[in-house]
Amino acid sequence: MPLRRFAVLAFCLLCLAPAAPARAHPHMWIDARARLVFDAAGRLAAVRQVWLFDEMSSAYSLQGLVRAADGEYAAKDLQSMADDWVAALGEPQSHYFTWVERRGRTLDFGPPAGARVRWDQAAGRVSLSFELPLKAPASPAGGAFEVRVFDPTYFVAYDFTASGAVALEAAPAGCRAAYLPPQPLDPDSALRLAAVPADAPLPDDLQAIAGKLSHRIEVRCP
Amino acid sequence: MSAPGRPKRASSTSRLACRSDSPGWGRSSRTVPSPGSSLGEAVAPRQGGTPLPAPVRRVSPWALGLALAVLAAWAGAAAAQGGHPFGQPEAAGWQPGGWLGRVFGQIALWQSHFYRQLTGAVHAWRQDGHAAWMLIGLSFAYGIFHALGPGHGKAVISAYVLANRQTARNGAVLALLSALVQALAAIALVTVAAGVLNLTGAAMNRATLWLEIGSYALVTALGLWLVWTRIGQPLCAGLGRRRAGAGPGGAAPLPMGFAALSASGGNGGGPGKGDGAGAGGSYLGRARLACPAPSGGLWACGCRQAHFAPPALVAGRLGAGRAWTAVLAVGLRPCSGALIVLVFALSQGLYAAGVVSALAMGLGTGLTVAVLAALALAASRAALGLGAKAAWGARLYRIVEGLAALAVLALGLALLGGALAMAGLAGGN
Repeated sequence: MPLRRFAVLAFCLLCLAPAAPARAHPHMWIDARARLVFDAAGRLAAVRQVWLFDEMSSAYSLQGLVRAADGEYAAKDLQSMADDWVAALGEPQSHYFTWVERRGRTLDFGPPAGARVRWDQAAGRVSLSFELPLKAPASPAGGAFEVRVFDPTYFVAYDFTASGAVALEAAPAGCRAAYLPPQPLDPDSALRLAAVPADAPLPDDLQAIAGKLSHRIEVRCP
Repeated sequence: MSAPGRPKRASSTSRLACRSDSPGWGRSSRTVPSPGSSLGEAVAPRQGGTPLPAPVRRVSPWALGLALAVLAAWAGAAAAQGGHPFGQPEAAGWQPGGWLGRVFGQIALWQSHFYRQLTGAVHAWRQDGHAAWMLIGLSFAYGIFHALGPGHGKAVISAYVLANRQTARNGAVLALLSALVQALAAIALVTVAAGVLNLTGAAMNRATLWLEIGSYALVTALGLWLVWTRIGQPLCAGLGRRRAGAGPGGAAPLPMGFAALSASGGNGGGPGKGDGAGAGGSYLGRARLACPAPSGGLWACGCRQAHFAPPALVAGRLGAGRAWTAVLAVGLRPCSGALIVLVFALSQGLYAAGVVSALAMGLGTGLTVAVLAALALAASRAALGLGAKAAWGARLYRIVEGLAALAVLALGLALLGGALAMAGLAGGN
């Protein structure tokens, strides 16, 4: 069999062969800001975020709500939108798209607080703010924290690159937050990740790789 | 689920449609001769180019499809991963890994690049009608790259075209039609749900999910039909043939039922209508009647259906029923990008911009899928070129055809299971 034909055929089969789960492409862009809030005892107590949606998905999410003549929306409509969103984000598979980890362990969140949707008419954009308290505030003495923000379905693309997008609040002196942008996935890891069933735990090295796909905030205290 | 083919011809015609390129077939021990059956003389002289009656099949494969879909739903519900808090992400199916994965990453970047400019383009149109062209161009470019990324559309169309030995022209028609249907589905959904009923975005997400389930059910049904006709029947026929021994003048039996297949392999997939018809002619010239009266039952597969429809049958025209199944399977689920642009345009009081954008996206998507389907065909034809010289080359082609059929079925089941799981979870909330 001539090599050329074999190559053509192989290409053909390659295109049809299931190889890796596809990454959907984003349809929603969020300019995000995160505040890591410490309590009086100097422990990390909460993650406070503001997610500013792009204009198109803002319009989509406001669709069907009654808009007043002045272009504003009723406060109760926006509040019920905020409550619905936070409730949906709280489903286990979404996990608020936010994970606080230390030494590879995820710290549990308590019930979210302060969920609010604001409508910026001039910009035509909606924002959602909410706070995720840690169930048990964690002392920085136990090691550095890693806060990850990430939509595993890739429907949402987050952006933390604005200046001041990541900040610490009431942190003990000397604490620093470093923002690490997502790393592209190398093809081999993509294939290995693809081979793991969705509900199975990831091996440690893969977990480390998967973690780098998200926006990461490293918090270190002296 | 109704069989969307061109069914229900008179049963006498259906018997006439039975033919074989291998004289031994009719002796399958599974078939029951009917009294006074002398249809052989009636059928053998048919020439290629004459439109042949559609193969008539019983409902069974579709009923089987429904049963499998229900099974997939159960399996999927067990592994429910849940819905998305903000939207209804498109299930992407599969994409190749390796270097192709990197290419897809780059494509996704370009796609996002165009998509994000659509917002500005709608605003620009509102300021100045001449800016419409910018929106059209950006939407078109988005459509082109969108279709290059992961998605079930191109996989279904390419595999359908491959497994069915369609011509590149028919593949292009299918691709463009399905993209048009997809754009129209988005326009219809937003017009009715948002424009008329003023439903919320969340309600539209649910509607999208149901369209998605319909779309994936059709993919599954199409896959079942392809697997049945490309793999099930040939295997079955091959077994029957082996049992009866090689017929007079027939080739020695080969494993896997491919012996029966290889004989006609060199003819299929001609690039054009004329080519196809010619091949069909020689194919039919060898045909013998192998078909006694209907013996009933799904598995009496030695008969009743054209095992390998000659290219004149499949390539000459699109076979309206099944082609529409493929078109709907791809087009029923509107693309999220189009939905969002339409709702945004509506919110800006410029719905026309959304409609134009959705149609331009559809054109771009359709062109890309048409090119991809043509590439898949060209690749398989290159393999087929060997068929003329070597029997195993033709067998290889049959394998490609069978794999394509399996790919459609697997894709349909995976997507359907996922979508139904999501629906179950959404309903539970």
